[in-house]
Amino acid sequence: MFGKNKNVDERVKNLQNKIYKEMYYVIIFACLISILIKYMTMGVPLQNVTTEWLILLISSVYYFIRAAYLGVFTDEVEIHDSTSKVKLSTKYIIFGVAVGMVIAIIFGVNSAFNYAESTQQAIYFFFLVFFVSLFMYALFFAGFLILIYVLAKKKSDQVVQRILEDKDSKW
Amino acid sequence: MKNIRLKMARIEHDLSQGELAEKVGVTRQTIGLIELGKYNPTLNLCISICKTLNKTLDELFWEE
Repeated sequence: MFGKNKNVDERVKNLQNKIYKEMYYVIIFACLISILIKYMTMGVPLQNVTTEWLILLISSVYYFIRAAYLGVFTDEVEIHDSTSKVKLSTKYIIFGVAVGMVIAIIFGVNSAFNYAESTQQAIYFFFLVFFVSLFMYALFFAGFLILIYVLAKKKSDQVVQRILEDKDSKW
Repeated sequence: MKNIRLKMARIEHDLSQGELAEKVGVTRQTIGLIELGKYNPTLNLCISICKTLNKTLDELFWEE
């Protein structure tokens, strides 16, 4: 009798979840646009775009933690790896290196344009800053992402294992 | 594909879409969409509808 009020229409819930998902993409897109506009109008200092970076970082971390503690991350990896030729862990590394490369290019171009006095020096500065930045940031992002992947997968596997054991004992 | 059997079973029980919806805890629109074949309900909802209408899953949802 009282339980009836707790019922939530599954179709409505699904549609609401779909809207929330789209809303998340809109927020991420808005943050990225805001970062881009601030970089172009206010320069590169990090404090100008701290809020946007925090929104991006916290929402991502929140997703990983929830997915790991609900055991969904294990399912995600399983579904992905069974349908894709490239494993999800490999994609994380590739993505990390790609992000590092984009940052390295930006820094390289920035150095070449702002500090070089001749074309030759600009090329030298670009490659010097590019390779140093690439080494630092690609390593950092790839390492960071793979670390998050491993931790989330480990926790998620434990949760799934515990859920399955609980179910077994009930039956 | 329209679910005529669900509609017939509902009418047999003299229930409107809204009344059936209330009994199984969803909205009238959801029942309407299931009958029109535009929404695939979860197994839990199917079972709930079957129990309310005293039918089996096969009778209401199995497509021959």
